[in-house]
Amino acid sequence: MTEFKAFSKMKELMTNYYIEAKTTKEKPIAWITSGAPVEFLFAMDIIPIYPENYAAMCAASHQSVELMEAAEQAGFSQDICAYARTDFGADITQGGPAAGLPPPHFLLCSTNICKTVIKWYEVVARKYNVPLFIVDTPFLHEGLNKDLIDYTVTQFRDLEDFLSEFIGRPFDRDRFYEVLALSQEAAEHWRRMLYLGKTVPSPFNSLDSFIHLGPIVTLRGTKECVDYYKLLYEEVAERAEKKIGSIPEERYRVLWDNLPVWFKMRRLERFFEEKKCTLVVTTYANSWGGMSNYQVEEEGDPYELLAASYLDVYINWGFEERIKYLAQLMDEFCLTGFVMHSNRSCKPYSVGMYRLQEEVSKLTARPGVVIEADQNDPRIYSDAQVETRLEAFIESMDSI
Amino acid sequence: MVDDDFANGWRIVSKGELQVEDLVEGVTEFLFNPAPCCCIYNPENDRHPYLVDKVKGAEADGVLFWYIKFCEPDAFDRPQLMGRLKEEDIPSATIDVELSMTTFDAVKTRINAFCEILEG
Ligand code: SF4
Repeated sequence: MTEFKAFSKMKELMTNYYIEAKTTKEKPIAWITSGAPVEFLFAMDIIPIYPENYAAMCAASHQSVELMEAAEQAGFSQDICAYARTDFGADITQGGPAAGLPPPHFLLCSTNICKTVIKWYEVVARKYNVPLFIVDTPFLHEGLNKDLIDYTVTQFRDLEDFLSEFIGRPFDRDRFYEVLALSQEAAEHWRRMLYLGKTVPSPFNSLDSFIHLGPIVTLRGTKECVDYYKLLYEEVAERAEKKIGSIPEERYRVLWDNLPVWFKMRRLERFFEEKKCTLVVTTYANSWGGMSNYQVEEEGDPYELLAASYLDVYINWGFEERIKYLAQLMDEFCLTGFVMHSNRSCKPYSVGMYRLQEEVSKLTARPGVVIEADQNDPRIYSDAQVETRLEAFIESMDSI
Repeated sequence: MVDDDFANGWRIVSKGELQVEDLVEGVTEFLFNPAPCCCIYNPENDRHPYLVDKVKGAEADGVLFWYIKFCEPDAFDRPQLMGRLKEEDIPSATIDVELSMTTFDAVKTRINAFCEILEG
């Protein structure tokens, strides 16, 4: 991992966040999906808890297997998303780095990342006997349009009513606008930081961005989050200015599509460094540079802008859009190739991947590779298989 | 087999006629009102009491879950549904099936074992 001074700040932020959530007596807790409009919760002083983030932490600290086994023991099939299984296991055993998550008072789930989360949250709602609010964000088969935005805004209004009834006071719109501005500011720092990857050599690699993703997922909408990403941006910008690369020698620059393999971060980092290959940009980390990141100065209804930003997410796009975007990133970041992680857990991210690879290769005249893996389940991962494919791919690239 | 809750069995039969005068209303009713399905979230039409009532109505002794790989919605529902049946003292078992499967010996063994449990 590239050494950033901001790293210790992030650890402190994340620790404080989990401590507050685990110890609070006054604030209600809502479990929320990573792409849900969290701004509504902060406006009402509710602590959002992200089971996906916790599952990733469990895998990164090599604790996911025992947790998934506990879930499978309870009857959950190995075919369901490993994040859900990890969290079910953590819930059953109160395991993982934070010894389980604080129980929810209600759940907020948005389908812009996948439809899996509806089922996942239904299970949680039933177990804890708490309400589940779903913000249904339709898949953008053919881009964004006004009807889809209106449909989403209507649900935002319902969400406000739900929250106001649940908490027992009117929805705090002034506070909401403040939170929106904070969210937008943090997302913009994050986006600008990620775009510093355009510098050759890249001042950071994508494994760094996966690690530094925690606060933008869990704390967007807070002042701490803004301060943190400002700090990180400045540090990375300084490296970019001085042309300090994330690895000693950068000969290849590639894109990573789909989630990280959380339990193989270190090994993959060493592997890529040895091969003089930097993972420069990822569709995954980029997603949080878009959500909540609308132009505040733009004329228009903030609800509509917010709805658009939550609908317009890579994993919620149809194929044509994905192909265009991937090709665009390949050019903008001067990449020599791309890696697609066909993730057994995440069907909506992985379906059609071989076809995408073909199309993007054709369009950019640069090689791509598909590796078969999983973000959280080491039991279906093979170092030899993945690394052999990656080696062949790296050999097939023209260096910069 | 005294009754079923298959997506291509009873759930289709339960759908009735599609109202065409107001198509949007009609389709919504068509989707949300019949037998509950794991693919449609509708807490007003919950699978748990529905399945218990269905078992009782059919005077079934137990329930066999037929899980077809890789149906995630069904896989999420199943453990809690089985738990609910257990609370009602209704025995249940599950069979994993793959669409590409060619030998069914394991399935037969499992069904036999379940029948033995039912015969008690
Ligand atoms: S990993 Fe994929 S399937 Fe699992 S919760 Fe995230 S988006 Fe949904």
